[in-house]
Amino acid sequence: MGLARHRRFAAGVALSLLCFTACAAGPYVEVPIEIPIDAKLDLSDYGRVLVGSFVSQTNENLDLDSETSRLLRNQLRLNSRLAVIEAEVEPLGDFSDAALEASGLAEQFDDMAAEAVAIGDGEISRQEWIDLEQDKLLEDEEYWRQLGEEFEEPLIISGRLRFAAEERSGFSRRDRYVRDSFNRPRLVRSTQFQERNAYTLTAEFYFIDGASGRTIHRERFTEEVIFGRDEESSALSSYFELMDRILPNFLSVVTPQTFRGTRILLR
Amino acid sequence: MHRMPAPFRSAWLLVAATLLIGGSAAAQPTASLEASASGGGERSGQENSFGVEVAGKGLWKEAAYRWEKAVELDPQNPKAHNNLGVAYERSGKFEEALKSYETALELMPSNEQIRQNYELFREAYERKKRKDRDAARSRRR
Repeated sequence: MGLARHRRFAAGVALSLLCFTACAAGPYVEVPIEIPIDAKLDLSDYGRVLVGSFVSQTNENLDLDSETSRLLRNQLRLNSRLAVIEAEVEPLGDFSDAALEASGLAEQFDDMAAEAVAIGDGEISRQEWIDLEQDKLLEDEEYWRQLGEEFEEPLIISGRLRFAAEERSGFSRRDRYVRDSFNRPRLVRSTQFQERNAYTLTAEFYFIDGASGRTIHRERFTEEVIFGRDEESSALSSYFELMDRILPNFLSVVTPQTFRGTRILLR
Repeated sequence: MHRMPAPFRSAWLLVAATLLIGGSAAAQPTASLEASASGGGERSGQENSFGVEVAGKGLWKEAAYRWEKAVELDPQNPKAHNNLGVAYERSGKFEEALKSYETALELMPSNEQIRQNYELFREAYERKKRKDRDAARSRRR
């Protein structure tokens, strides 16, 4: 037997022994675990929830308020221990351009803005004014208290919703591989202008105590979906896509969540 | 005197060294347990293994009880501390889980599995603390 063969044999024996001892030294079991995480809000005082109306702002062909109320009611029914009150609540406020024009509020704002400039006050943007008007509605404790009284003091969920189409065109980097004259792959980087649009959804949820009318918790989420200008994307399907991203975070406020993972038990 | 040919000599030396190193590595935890509490170490090991068995069948309360007993019998048993950490974490007792994992890691700092459990736990615990902080902040608002 040659020297090299002896060495290979010795190394093989040693390696097998090493493997055997290593396996025998550390037996363990991997187990799946679910870690409970409490809901953000302690809702032990409430047995029922009323999904109220939302102040909404969109110029797209979409009924933001009723779609959201319906979606939240379904999700709460499926995922929370609270009994969902089946009731339609009067619309809180539509702040779409068309609604503002029709109600004369847009004109009222233009007059107010012109007057502010005339007397030397700082200018206020239309969006800031809309936000202030929406705050007034959402923070009207008397209104929420009365609504709470009507439905026997449940937890009330309301808030503000804004859904808008926005321009997102710009330069983006593009990497591609090409073969050179020696047939070797080569990375070529280039930038190109892409015409893109986006739908943005901002949802701020208000959790209101039906007994006092006071807001006990507020949570704001913003999500965006970008698509090429030549791609088909309807406002309604984009809205559902964005709400799908927001819903788990919304639910974590009112329902306990679980983190799933694995841990190792040692014998 | 007859001498072994050089290749054979080196092979035997390697085998002997492997057995020596491997054997001592395999025996290390048991040896430390036995040394730490004569008799108690062995019983602690048995309770720990039984805990793993029942946890595998989904009986986590029983498993936690066994691991608590194992730790009581031998406070130097890193495996029981690690397993107890998993049981505490699973039932939402995060402070207790943290202590158990830390003790396990102190007793056996080079153990990959304990370190992995500890790091995954820290990640989940930090997330939970962040959620609690958010909730407290919004309650104050």
